[in-house]
Amino acid sequence: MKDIFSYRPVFNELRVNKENIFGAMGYEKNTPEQYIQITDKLLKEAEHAAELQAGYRWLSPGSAKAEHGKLVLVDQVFEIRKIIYSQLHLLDGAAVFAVSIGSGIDNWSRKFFEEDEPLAGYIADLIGSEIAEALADWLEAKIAAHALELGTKHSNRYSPGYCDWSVAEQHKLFSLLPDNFCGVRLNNSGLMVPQKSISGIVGTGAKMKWREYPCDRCSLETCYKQIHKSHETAS
Amino acid sequence: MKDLLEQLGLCVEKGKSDRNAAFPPELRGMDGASELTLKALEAGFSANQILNEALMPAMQRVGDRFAEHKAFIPDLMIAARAMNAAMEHLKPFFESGEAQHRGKIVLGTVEGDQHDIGKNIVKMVLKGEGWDVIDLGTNTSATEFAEAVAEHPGSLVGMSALLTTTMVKMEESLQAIRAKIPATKVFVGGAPLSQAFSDQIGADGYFPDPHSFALHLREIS
Ligand code: B1M
Repeated sequence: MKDIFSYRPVFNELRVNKENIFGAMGYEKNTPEQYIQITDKLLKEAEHAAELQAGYRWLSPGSAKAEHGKLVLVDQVFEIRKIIYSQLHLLDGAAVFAVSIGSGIDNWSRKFFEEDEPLAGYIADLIGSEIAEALADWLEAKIAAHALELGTKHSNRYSPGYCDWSVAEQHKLFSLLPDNFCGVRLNNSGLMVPQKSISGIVGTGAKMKWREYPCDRCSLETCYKQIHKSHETAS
Repeated sequence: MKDLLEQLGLCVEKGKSDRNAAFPPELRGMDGASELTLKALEAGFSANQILNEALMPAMQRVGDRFAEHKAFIPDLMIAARAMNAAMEHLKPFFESGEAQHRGKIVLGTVEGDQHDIGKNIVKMVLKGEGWDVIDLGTNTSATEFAEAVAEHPGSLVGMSALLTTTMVKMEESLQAIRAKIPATKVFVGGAPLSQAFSDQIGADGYFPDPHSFALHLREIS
């Protein structure tokens, strides 16, 4: 049975949210006109620099289980720790995924820096990050549709490096995917190349539920999900 | 005459690097930091006066707003760019020794890490502050850091990383640097870092953003 699914969506299928880009700059509101104009201009051009690839490996019931605080996918044992375990312990299948927008946006951003247009370079980089997130949302919706089609349910998506799950586990995760999946390579440090790539898993099974990330149970102060949360509480 | 320095400071603060810059709208069509620096030199102000009475106070004002969360990274960047446009005209005075650089700083993203945007922003802010920045780029090995420090005696070092799996390379680099020149001050920054990590590897400080780093460097230089 086919278990690898890969796609090359077109840019218009993604929901790129400009407000997230301004938020990443630091502006929750009242973004100066100058930055809005540059962002609008670059967003139009970004479409041509992004090379969207997304895909997942579908692990059917029986090839995934969670027990004793660990997640077992095929032959790999993941130390997902408490937070993610609490969300996934009832899974019986999973989708292991990767998405990438290629290196076009990185090169484009770097070129701006070289041409003494650092602000444009910075904003192009932020746009690239937002596109990568939007692509991961797009893929999550595909996985959700797949689950629905098979009459099962799915969780939120979880990535190594978040919610106390070590980035070092990237190597195990990528061992479950074909080489160079969606154009992504891992270096020895577990860094994905191209830079603007995201990996992770979605739990599936009759008892799975999509839940918000439980940030109140994580202590990583530098996590941007926490930072957003503290801003929301403060304002 | 004083107005000239005041206007120059305003241009730096608002990020108006030259006459062609379209922003801010209230300064459209007027001289920017580049033209005003030339005019200030022609009017007889010394390079040090321009630096200390116009450019640095302007950067300080942006920095203060940044520290109060009223200005953000893009504001720091446009100010630093305007500052750099002014500094271009002051370069000959630094080269002749008539005015002084703050010193040299070696910057690099550690081995195994390709993330350069954070380091690049730090670089431009430090250049704007008058530092001579030696940029080693990304994926910089411990040996490359150590060699750069040996090549530029007296330089400080700033290291950047994106992930917990790459930041571990900082300790190795720090040891290689200190093995060459023991007294070298080494600072660290990047998204997953913390002061606790900096203490653990024996670095001289962690800085979450370019402004706090620049302020500290000002204090120790
Ligand atoms: C002394 O010298 C100094 C002083 C100051 C210094 C300095 C040196 N160097 C930097 N500074 C400082 O000044 C600069 C200017 O302000 C700053 O530099 P930065 O580089 O930090 O800032 C940039 C200008 C803008 N900031 C950024 O580009 C990073 C922002 C955050 C939100 C982030 C983003 C945007 C992204 N990411 Co992700 N990402 C996060 C980040 C969370 C955060 N709080 O920052 C971080 C870095 N990411 C993380 C992770 C885990 C990951 N990300 C990933 C992917 C992504 C996106 C693609 C979605 C996107 C782009 C990433 C990229 N490399 O381009 C993955 C890795 C990507 C890869 N290539 O391998 C992935 C591994 C997730 C996954 N499994 O897919 C976390 C790392 C945690 C860890 N354990 O290592 C993370 C801290 C998020 C979190 N948990 O909060 C300061 O740090």
